[in-house]
Amino acid sequence: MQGEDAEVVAGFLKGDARAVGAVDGWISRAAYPYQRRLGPRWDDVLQDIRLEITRLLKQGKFRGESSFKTYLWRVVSHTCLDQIRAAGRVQWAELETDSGAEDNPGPFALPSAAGNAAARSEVKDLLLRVLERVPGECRELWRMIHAGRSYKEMSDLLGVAEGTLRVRVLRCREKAVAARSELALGPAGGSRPRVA
Amino acid sequence: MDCDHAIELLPWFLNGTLAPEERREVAAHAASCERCAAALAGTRAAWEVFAQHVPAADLVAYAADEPTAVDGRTVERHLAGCPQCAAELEMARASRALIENEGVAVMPARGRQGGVRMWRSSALAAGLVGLVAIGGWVNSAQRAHDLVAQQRGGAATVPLHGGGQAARSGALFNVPQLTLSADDDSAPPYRGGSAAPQIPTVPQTSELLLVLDPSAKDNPESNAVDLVDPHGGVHPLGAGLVKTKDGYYTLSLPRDLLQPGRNRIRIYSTDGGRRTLVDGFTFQVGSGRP
Repeated sequence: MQGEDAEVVAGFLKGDARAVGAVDGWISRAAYPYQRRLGPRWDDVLQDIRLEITRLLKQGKFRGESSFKTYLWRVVSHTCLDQIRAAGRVQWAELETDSGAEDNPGPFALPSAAGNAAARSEVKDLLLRVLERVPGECRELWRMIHAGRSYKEMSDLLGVAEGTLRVRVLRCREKAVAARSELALGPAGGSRPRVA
Repeated sequence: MDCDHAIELLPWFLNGTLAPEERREVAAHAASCERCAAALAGTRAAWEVFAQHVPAADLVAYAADEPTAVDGRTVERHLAGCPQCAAELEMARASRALIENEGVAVMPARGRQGGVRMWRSSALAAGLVGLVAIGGWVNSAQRAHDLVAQQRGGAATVPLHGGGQAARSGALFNVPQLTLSADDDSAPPYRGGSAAPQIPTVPQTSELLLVLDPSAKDNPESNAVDLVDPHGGVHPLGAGLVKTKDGYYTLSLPRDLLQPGRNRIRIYSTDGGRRTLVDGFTFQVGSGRP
């Protein structure tokens, strides 16, 4: 760890006003590009970041492999992106009679958080490659579905009849499922996802 | 409701936007009909596929020029086709530029404007911050307004993404494609080159993030971009547009620049002072938010 960084970290952990002020300023600067998107949660997210930084520094997680500012940037960006994505995520509705797909996660199910990180990345890579195989128009349609648009709204926005829209979305769904099956099982019907 | 109709409605059953009566009928099919239950499972599988984005940790790693956990080629291909991830990458890069360069002041944030989804406008804000941070060019809100004035007046050549360094390196694109995004989801992003049949409409109150997606290869010449307003006025938008790491050329337009009516963005290559039109993109600006 560089001497200056070590000094700032030590001062921050001791509550030195100058060090705390400097770190707080860096956090605010790094978080600034996310501010508009975070909206009213901005202050809460900044506070979360401060607490996370404090926790990480107390645990000695910052080992000086990069500059302290770069380390802060990583934490800030990771936290802000996670928060932005969590706010925009629409969880699918469940039937009252089942528990969704959780009980039958299928060949592409992401391993649990406690599972092998490499396996998670491999599955994530596969899912992204499945997505590549689906036409851009389909991605746009499903982006609107994920954004919580009703088919009536989508029909109006896109200027197509509701029936036409529903059929297009259905075909997109079929393309995604076919691509998913193809990459998961391969043309010969293997049982393991193939990784290029 | 028959099975075919119920199956068509499944995506909106999952996103919770069906009317109560439709919802009850679809749920009844899915719970009692084997074919509909299988279709529901397929719809969930598709939902998961279409919800994929580059993990935040990989976006941060990518922004730091470090190896990603997901295959780097997959990340790059996804970024080339996903405006949301491209916008988030832009935010991460702007974030880094701001923390590394304390000589750049940040512009005051504006208030949230209603409950719309804002990733695009956030990307615009990030893009502007990127300009500020990288170019060291605008360091106050007043100067940000000057940018609008400059562009309106057409008196200055404004460095685009990458600032002065971009202007020096001067990479260009060949037959670019355009993604035009407003700051809400009132309209789907418009994609397509000059031959695209549709003309997108955006509200005047939107800020725009124009993402030029290069098609085949880069042309190592300098370039220029201008905006033709509905009255025929020409506003130079800048020069030195360079390809970002994710394969895009991004161009942020302050909202005050756009006038209602049909606007056109023109892209030129420049060689020895001679300008050659590379491509142009037309879009309609509405009089307000729909």
